[in-house]
Amino acid sequence: MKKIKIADLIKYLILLTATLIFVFPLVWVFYNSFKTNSELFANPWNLAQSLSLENYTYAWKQANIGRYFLNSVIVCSISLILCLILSSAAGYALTRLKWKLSDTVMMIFLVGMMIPIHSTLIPLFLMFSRMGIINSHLSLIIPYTVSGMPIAVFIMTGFLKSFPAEIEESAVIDGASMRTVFFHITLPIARPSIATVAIYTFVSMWNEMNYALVFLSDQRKMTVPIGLNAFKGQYSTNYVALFAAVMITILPSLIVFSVFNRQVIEGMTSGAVKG
Amino acid sequence: MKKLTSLSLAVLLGISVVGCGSGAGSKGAEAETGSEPETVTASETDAGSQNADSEGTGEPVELSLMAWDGGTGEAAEVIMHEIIDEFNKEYEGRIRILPEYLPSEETKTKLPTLMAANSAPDMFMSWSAGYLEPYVTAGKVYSLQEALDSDPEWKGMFIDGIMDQVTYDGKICAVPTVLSTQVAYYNKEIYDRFDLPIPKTHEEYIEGLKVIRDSGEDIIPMAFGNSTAWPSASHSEILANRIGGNDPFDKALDGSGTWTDESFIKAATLLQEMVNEKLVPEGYAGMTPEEAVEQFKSGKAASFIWSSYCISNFEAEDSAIRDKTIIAKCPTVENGKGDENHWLGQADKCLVISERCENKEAAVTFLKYYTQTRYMQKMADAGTLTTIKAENLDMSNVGPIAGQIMQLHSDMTGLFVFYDVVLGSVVGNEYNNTVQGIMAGDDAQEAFENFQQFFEDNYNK
Amino acid sequence: MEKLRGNKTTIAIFILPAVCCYLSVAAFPLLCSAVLSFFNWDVAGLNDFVGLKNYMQLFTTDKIFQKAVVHTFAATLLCLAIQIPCAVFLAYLLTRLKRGRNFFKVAFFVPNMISTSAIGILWIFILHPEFGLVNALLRAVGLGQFAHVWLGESDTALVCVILAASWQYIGYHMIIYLCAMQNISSSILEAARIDGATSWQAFRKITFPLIAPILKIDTVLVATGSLRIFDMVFVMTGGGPNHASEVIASHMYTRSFKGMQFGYGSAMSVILMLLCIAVTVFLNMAFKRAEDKVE
Repeated sequence: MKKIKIADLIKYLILLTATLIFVFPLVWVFYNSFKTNSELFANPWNLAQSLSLENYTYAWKQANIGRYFLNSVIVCSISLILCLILSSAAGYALTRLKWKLSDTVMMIFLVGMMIPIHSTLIPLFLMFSRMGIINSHLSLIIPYTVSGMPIAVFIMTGFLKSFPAEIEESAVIDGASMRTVFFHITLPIARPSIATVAIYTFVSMWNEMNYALVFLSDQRKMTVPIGLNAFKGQYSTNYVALFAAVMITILPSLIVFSVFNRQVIEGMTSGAVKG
Repeated sequence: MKKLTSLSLAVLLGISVVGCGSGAGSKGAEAETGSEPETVTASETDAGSQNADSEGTGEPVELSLMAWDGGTGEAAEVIMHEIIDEFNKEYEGRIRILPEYLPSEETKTKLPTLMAANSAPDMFMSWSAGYLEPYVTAGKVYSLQEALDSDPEWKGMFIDGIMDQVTYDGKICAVPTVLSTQVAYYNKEIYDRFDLPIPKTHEEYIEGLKVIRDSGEDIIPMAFGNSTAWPSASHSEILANRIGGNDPFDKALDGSGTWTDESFIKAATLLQEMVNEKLVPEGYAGMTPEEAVEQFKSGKAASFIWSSYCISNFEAEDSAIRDKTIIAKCPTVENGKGDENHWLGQADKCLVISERCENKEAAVTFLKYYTQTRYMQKMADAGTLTTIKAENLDMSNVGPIAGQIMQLHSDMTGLFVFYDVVLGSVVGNEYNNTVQGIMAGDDAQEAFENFQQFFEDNYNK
Repeated sequence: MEKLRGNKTTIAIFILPAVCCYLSVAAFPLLCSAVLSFFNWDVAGLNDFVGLKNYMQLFTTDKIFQKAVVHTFAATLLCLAIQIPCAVFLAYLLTRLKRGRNFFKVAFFVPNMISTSAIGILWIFILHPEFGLVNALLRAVGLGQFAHVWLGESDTALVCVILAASWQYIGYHMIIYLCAMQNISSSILEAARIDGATSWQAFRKITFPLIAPILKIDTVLVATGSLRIFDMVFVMTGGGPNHASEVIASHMYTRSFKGMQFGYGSAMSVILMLLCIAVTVFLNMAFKRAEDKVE
């Protein structure tokens, strides 16, 4: 009995150390975001002497983060939904349906994970300006949706393959159409993987900068990373405001994560019950 | 062959214009209808300017401008906002500038992409010399020669020779608005306390720094941050010029000399010695140039050899050295051929009009408006060096540090440009890296031999 | 059943939207840039067809590219060596936890939610030569002589960038393994324990083989991700000092956008893609071999 306790202790000790490593920098940014710049330079490791929200109001106003925030939410949520629909459908077709080219298509998607972003920048720009959608949110939604797809398809197919198709098959035997099966059985089953995909793609969309920088030129349409980056030019003289800006931009990711995190757990427990 | 290649690309992209290289007015790639009227982009401006052909009907000419704004509160940037706002008010109903503010570093990705896609903004800000050159050669830039020639008063406002840096094939292609030069800043308080003279030569300078170092006080002898490589490079360029004059660089550039010339090697070696002697902060290699500025500004450093652009920063309210700064010409090197009145610097924040801009006349109007004395005076008052002659400016409101440098500039007999600006991004960057490597301990001879090879492989290709 | 599975309309409805979007927005531009890598392409537009010249130049005269290739491989190996063992280990510990699993999961995932540029800046601070956390800690425990200018020295710059990148991604990979491990029915592990297996034996004989498919996928993810590493390098060191942390993607960026040699840059991106594909194929083969051996 005693032995087990020691093992447990070590386990928690390791995990807490790891937590410290992963979380401390964020905590550090957080508490430094309330300091003044000279306080930061004097001692970057102690707590702020007074709690002032000045950096936050400054970042919000100066960097116009409010506006960028809204734009980012619009662009990312639309892209995320599109990406999830398209790639779960594709994942379904690739694992549950039988067709000749499925291996080839899977290969093509896999190659997509290897595309260096900068090589598509100019061709896409030409394409979008031809379509007349440069400087609109559509010019971000399209590439964001698509660039999330390879990894989404990858994770979905991986999950569906590991999950037996028997439930779906029996439903089909009971007379359900493939589409009904997809929406009412496969999607609910695949919830954990959808959540994983959602978290991952949302985070990368939320942080994407290259497309946004090149495709948008109207200040009012720009997204958070651009705002943050414009701010970075200033970080040499005003680190603390940058920290505040970083904290503001992390918030949505945190929310999405906590929402979908519950989904992951739910999905898993329900999966376990059924399995 | 050319036709074939453009054809193949056209097929590929389904676009009919890219790659014809004619530069002017290829509209195929431009936006079509359906764009919201209040949102204007590089590509949509054409729609705006077509309306504007009939002036006076109420639709103003719209001109897109890609302008630099790093959000640092730098005087020239703040005033730029003001200029654009006031211009738009004054020309309401006739011309409207649609600025896109970006930190200058960001434009380094965006501008090439827009250029390659033939969607450059009507006007943009640029560095001089080698940075702008590829665009000029590619026919993307509208020559301002005619506009300047037809308005002698405007042309005559600018400092003599400043236009050389933006002249290509005998044609002026941009209007520089800011001048930045490398100068030596000394903290008078510290120098007085140690009873040190303001040094004339590099050797004297080093002697003084050693005294400060050995004092045991917590003072940085020379403020320095080299994480981006170009601070070390710019310093080496001054030293190389002081050692060998202009010749070595000119010759290396045209191929009659090489980069293994003694002046380059010795200059870099002198910097290496400064590191070995611990005359720069210990962590210099991991610090940014902005941090170096901060070191001097906060009064922690005794000296600083750096660009004049941060004068406005040093003159700011929160500066600890506002009234304690002495500015001098960069030190010479004993037995060197160089002249202390040769300055390292560049014409900066150059305004350029694209060849594909449809209303060049309106654009020129804006350039003239931008460079008028009123605004240049404002910049000067805020401590920014401008490109117009000092006689056009009223010096009474100029700050204490900026006043000194304008005085020193009056002796200027030559201006040589940062190597990385002349050499263009790729080769210039490699020069910077070479010097950075030597400072960190690389063998100078060997490093410059490698650079010579790199130069031969990549320059003018 | 088989008939339904092969129904052409159903297949088309499910797969075509994704494939069409994907081909037109990802594959097509990529193909363009691949074709353009055979051209001399700069701001003036396309000049001439130069055949393999860009590629020849990369492998003959471009010393920086060759350095970058070495660095890229080193970075990839390092990422694999750090991220996967850490992720598996942490995930394993979490599965054996009775309480607080969710807390740790969120905690480890936190770095993934911060943008790379913010993380880069954060790590610049952590590694700052004067007031950085690392040097401060070293000095505090009396190891001041091991303090370094971490990002400014050529020996440490790349390693530090990789550490920062690993810090960001370990939590993500951990979640993948955690999902996989939680799919393992607890009764199997319970049975093993009753049979007297130690934790290590249970891990090796039961958990490991069952997560092997995920391990394979994840290894590919880590490898292709680190081969393309760009953002972190760009923010933290810009490839410096003196190319000490230059990787293929950063070199490509410099040449394409700063040097405006788009054709040359395209050639590099093609090589980068081929490398990714080659590594994927290699990893698949290696895993297959290992599987065969086990069987």
